[in-house]
Amino acid sequence: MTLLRDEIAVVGIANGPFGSFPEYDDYAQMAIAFKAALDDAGLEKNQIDGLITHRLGLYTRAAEVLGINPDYAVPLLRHGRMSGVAIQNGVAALLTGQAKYVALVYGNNGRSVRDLYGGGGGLWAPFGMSSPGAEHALLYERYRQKYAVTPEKLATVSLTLREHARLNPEAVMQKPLTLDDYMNARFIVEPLRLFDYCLINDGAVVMILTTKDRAKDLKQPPVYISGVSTATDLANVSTPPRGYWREAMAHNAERVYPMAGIDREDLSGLMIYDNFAPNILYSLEGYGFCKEGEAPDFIQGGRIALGGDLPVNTSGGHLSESYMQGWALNTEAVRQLRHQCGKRQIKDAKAIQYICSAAICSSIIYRR
Amino acid sequence: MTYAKPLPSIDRWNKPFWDAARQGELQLQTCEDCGHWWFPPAPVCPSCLSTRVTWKRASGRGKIWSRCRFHHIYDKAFADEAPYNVCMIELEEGPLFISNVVGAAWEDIGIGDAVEACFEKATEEVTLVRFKLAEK
Amino acid sequence: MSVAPLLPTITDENRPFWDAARAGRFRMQRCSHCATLRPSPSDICPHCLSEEFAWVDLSGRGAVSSWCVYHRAFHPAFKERVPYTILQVDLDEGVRFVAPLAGGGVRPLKLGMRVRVVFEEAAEDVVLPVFALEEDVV
Repeated sequence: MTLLRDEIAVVGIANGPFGSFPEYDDYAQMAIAFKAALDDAGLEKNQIDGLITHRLGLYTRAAEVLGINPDYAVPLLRHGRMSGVAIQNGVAALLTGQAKYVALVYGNNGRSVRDLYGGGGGLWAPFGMSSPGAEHALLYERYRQKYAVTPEKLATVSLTLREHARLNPEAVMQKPLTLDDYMNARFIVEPLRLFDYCLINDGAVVMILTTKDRAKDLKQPPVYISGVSTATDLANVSTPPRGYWREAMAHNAERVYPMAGIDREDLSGLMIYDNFAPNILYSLEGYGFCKEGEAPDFIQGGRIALGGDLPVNTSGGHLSESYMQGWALNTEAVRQLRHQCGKRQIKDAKAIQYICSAAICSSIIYRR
Repeated sequence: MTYAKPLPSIDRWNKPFWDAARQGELQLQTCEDCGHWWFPPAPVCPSCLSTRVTWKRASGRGKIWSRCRFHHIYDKAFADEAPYNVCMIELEEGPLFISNVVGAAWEDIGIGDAVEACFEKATEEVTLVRFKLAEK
Repeated sequence: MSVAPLLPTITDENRPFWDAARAGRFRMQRCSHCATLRPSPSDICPHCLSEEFAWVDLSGRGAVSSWCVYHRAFHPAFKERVPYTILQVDLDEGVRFVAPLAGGGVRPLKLGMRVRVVFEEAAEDVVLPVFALEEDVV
C-alpha cells in the first residue's frame, strides 16, 4: 500500500455560475472557469501540461478552445462517475511524472440544450423503463421495504442539503424546503419524489493539481489529495446492482483510509455523490459509518448537518446547489479545507472524504 | 394504428431472443461449458468466456426483486398508461430482467412475489416479454 | 455552381461567419485583448482566454500553402463533383484557412499561388466562402 498522504495538491479551483446559460456552450463555460482556476492558482496557461476532460464531447475542441498542447491528454465520457476517475488519473499522471500541472476540466450545458435524462432508447425502453432515476427507484423501493424506512426519514437528506444550499450564494436553490413541501411534491418514479432528484443545470468546474513541492510556490494554501481508490460493479451493469455496490465500497474503504493515513474518526465532513437522495444512505453504510439498514436513522438529529458530527454536502450538493456530476462536491471539499466557506464553514476542517457510489465507485480523501 | 412506443433494437446477438418471444417463448443464452445463464445477450459466456454459447428455453418463472412506478412521462407514448409499473424480475435461471407486471394493481405487486412470463404482441416483428403474478 | 451539398451546422458562435458570407463578406473573430484572429469560432480567445472579441472583415487574400484533390466521393452528395480540390490558404492576416477551390474541378497549382475569396451559393440561404486563383479573377 503506497502512502499517498499529502503528495498531490489541489492548487486552483473555479466554478462557473450554475444556472441556464444558453448564450455560452459548454466549452465556453469551461474555458471561463479554466481562466478563473489559473488566476486562483497563480499559474499561467502555458504551465498546464496535463488536460483531462469530462463530459465535453471532444477533448480536441476543449484543447483548441483553450489553445494548449498539453503533454498529457485524456478524455472521459459523460457519466458522473468519471469525476472521481478524472481525479485519480490526474494524480497518477503527476506521480509518474507525465505532467507537472494537470487541469481537470468539466463543462455542462445540459439545461439550456434541454438534455433529457430519460426517454430515448436503451435496453429496457420498450417497457417504459428509462432514466437513471428509475434504476434508483427500483433500488430504493426494495431497501425501504426491507428496512421499513418512512418517507419522512429519507426527506432528511433533501431538507438538510437545502439548508446548506441556503448558506451558499452560488447554490441554485435558495428557497426554504419544508417537510410538507417534500411530501406534497409529486413522485417522479415512485418511491422517489421530486426533491429526491438532483437538479439539471449548466455550469463548469475546473480543478488544477500539482505535486506538493510545486504547490508551495502558488497563491492558495494547498489542499492535499491523500487517498484515492476505485472499484467497480460493471459485470451486470444493465440492471441495478443487487448488492448496492457494497462490495466495491468496502474494497475502497479498506484501502483509502490507510493510504491517506487517517481513520474515519479523523474526517471533518463528507461529500457524497447525491444524484438521488438514497445514494447518501447506501454510501454512509457502504463505507462503514453505520451498519447496513441503519443510515435512515443515522442521518437524523442533525448528524449530517453543518454543526453536526459528520456534515455532508455542505454547499447543498447535487440536490440543491447544482448537478455538476461530482465536481462541485470536490471543489467544496477543497474550499472547506482552505477555510474559505464563510457561513457554511466546517469548524477546524482538517480532512474530507469524497464518495461516489455508482458502476465505478470512487473515493478521494482530501487533507489540509 | 402505428405502434408508438420504443421498439427494441434487434441485432445479430439478440435476434434469437426476439424470435423466440414472437413464438411465445422466453429464451436466454446459456453456456455449454459451465452452465451459466445470462441476459442481455453477449458474444461469449460472461462467466467463463467460452464461445460455446447457445440459446435455450427458460422456465419463464421468476420473483419480483423490486418494483417502481413511473408517474413522470419521459416518453409521450406512455402517457396514457401513467402511472405504470416497472419491475425487476430475478429469473429462476439467475439473470435479472426488467419489464412490467401486467394484470395486477400496484398495491398487489409485492417484492418476492412469484411471477411468470407472458407475451404481448407489439408489432409484426416484436412481441414483448412481460410478467404476471403466478397463481397462488 | 454549388460546391457543398452538405450544409454547415450553424451555432450561436459561428452564425456571424455564415451571415457575413451570405452578405458577401469574409469575417473572422479578433480578440479585443490580444488581437489574435481565430479561424475556429469560439466565445473565448484561445491565446489569452479573454471573452472580449469583435468580428472583423478580412481581405480575403492569401497564398496557397497546400491542397488535396478528392477523387472518391465520401458522401453520395459529392458523386457528381469529384474530382474537386480543397485548398489550404495562408491568409495575408497570418492565419490558415481551408476551403474549396472556386468553380470545382482540378487546376495546376503551385505553392504560394495567390488566391482571393469569392462566394458560392451552396443551398438556399447558405453561401460558402471559396477561393479563386488570382490569375482567374479579372
